[in-house]
Amino acid sequence: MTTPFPNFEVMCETDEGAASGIPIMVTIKMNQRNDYHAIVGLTDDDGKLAVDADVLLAEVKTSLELFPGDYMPVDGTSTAFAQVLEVHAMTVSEIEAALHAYDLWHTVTSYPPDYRSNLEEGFKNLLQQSPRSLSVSISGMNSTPKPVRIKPISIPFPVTAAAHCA
Amino acid sequence: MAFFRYGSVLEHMMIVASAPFRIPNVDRAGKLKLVYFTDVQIASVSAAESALMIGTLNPSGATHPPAYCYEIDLTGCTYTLHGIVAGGTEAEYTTPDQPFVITIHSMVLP
Repeated sequence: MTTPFPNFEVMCETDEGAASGIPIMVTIKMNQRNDYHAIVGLTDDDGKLAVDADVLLAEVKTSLELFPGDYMPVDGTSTAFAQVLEVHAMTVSEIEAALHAYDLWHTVTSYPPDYRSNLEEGFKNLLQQSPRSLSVSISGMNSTPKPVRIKPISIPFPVTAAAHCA
Repeated sequence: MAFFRYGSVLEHMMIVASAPFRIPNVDRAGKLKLVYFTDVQIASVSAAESALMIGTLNPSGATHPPAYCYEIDLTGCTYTLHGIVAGGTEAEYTTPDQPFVITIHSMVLP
């Protein structure tokens, strides 16, 4: 499977500056069947995270193996991929849902070794930082066989809405 | 009317590990996803692939073939009929909910 995805860098900021230790989610938009969602890691001390196209492709492969009837493959030739990626910082409730999904699926499908600990750290960081908003910007995108548009999505908060679940 | 879901070996391992048996409606990242199913029971893998254009006959590229057929109970679920699958012969439905599994059938190769 050739990758139709670019490598790129995400910068995450709050209303007060760089947002470190925040989990980033990429939505791979599809024209047919379900969109794919990939949690690609935590932002560093400068609020940055490098996203590797191979990580997105691995998520596609693993999801297809798990739910072959619910997704369409993504390759360089089909029109199933909408050529759009959406990127956003995860909310507290999204992290909780991701942790539940990990507990559901990790015995039958593989996740990166630090996947759960990253989510837990991101959950703690969000509650400690309590940002009023989280925005992302994209840079350093390389070229792909077909043009891909990356849409940064800003998240309005309060992030502590689900703090009772911590 | 009976409804059937065709699933992978991996999904099957998760379903049978937890009771009551339900078809999960969340993806690996915890986001809700639509569950695809049909209204016909097909015994063999190759017949299911050609009827529903899944697995090795997926028009966007081959994927893993289905391994199990679940008869599902849609009580309490909302669902949508999408018509006959493009290139296939059977109808495709989706639900955003988690249907209960009534019976599980291991599919026959090919």
